[in-house]
Amino acid sequence: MKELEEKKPRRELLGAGTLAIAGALFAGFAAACSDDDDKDDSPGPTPDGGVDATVRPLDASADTAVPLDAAVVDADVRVLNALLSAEYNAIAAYTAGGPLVQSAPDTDPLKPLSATIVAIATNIATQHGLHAAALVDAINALGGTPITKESVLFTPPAGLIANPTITNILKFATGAERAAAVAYNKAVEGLEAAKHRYLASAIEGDESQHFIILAALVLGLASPGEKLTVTTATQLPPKAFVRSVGSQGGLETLTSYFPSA
Amino acid sequence: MESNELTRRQLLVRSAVTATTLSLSMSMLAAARTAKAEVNPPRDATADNTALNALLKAEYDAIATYTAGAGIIAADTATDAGLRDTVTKVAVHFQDQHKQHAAALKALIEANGGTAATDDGKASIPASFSAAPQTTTSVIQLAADKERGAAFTYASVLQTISTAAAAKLIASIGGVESQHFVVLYLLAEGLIAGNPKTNSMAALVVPAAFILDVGPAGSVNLDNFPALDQLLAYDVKPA
Repeated sequence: MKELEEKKPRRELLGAGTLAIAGALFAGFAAACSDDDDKDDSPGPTPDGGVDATVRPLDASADTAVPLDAAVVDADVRVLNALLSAEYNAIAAYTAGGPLVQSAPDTDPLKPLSATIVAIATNIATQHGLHAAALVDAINALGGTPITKESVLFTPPAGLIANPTITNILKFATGAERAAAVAYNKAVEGLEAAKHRYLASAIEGDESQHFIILAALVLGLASPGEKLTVTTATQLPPKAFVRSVGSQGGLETLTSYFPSA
Repeated sequence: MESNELTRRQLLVRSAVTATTLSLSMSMLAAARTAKAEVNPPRDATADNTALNALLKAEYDAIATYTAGAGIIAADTATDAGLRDTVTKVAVHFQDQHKQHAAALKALIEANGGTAATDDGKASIPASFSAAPQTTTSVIQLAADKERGAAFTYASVLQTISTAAAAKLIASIGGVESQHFVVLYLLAEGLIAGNPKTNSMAALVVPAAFILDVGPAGSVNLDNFPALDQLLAYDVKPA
């Protein structure tokens, strides 16, 4: 039964719900293939947390090892375009939300943090822009047509419009980033080409970081640290991708506190 | 009311096609035809096990590292006891999530007909850490290194994973390792700080062990999380 399921095209596994979620948002290692996988010959962890094996950087325009047929290309373009739509929606939401945070009344409990919150939101919006660019590159590489930024409509939820406090704006953004992480994960499951699954995962990890940063802020699970300023807010989070995509460095480019060698 | 109108105008960003998104969904289904599509790489569940076992070993390493770290924190009497207690609670929470990751990886490896790697209980600690002063701060930094490595490794692995089940699980765990990393990194960099809520609600600091519902029974996932829905419900304007 499981074997049968695995032989289904991934696009059959990716239902309408996934893309509806994606669209409604915010509105390796190269393991050597072993003939005998019962043997425990897999690479082990390195002291600094990676896995001791060779990884190759992703270039969204790189040729794949196995040519993709038209149906696969078609399916992946659709998924990538749905994700692109969500990214544009996110950018629009952050663009709209920034001025609202800045103009919040002095009585808003989070008003003292408004400048920092806007700086964090600006960094996150910039990262969504980088995600969008990477998705456009991937769609173009497939010969597809990326949707345009102008074609995306952002409509805020009624509950936010009714009470646009900084807390509610942060709750909205937190929920949207949570939905983004979920949508990218479902896309990973459904995309056919490995390089697209990699791209989606590299972005998913970042959306996931956006989620927890905003959740910690709005739920009061952490306080601003002594080094948090509008300048250092660009470290929340520090990279737009968890692993390098094209010229954009991922987390592997950060320096270890305790190098293994 | 007027301010609501203004807010709506401010928030509304123009142009077409929410409908396009919906039509994308429908077209996606239409595209789900049964053509004999070549996929990249060709599906081979057993071949995925090599990668899954490498990730499983890394999870075992993370679990052992948190155990070692807790011992160092307990012995670090020069650091405020309250801070040490908070860091320990968060660390134990993260460690528990790594245990759930290990269980899920083991289950998939065995479902694929493979043999899961065994846990030797040993932490792989860099010599540079051992040579440094053993403090609560250094443990946070070491954990941030480990989680960073995990986050980018889980993404890297997807370049070679062939099956949807493995891809889903790997992405579901990788998204959580990314959250572990950023919390520890921001703490290590002094960009966030713990507070009484961090201590009393440590289980909410990275609240779900998986992004999707792929974990062992009883595990929490970000997709279906009613308690989080409630926490993120909008505050209503007082009448």
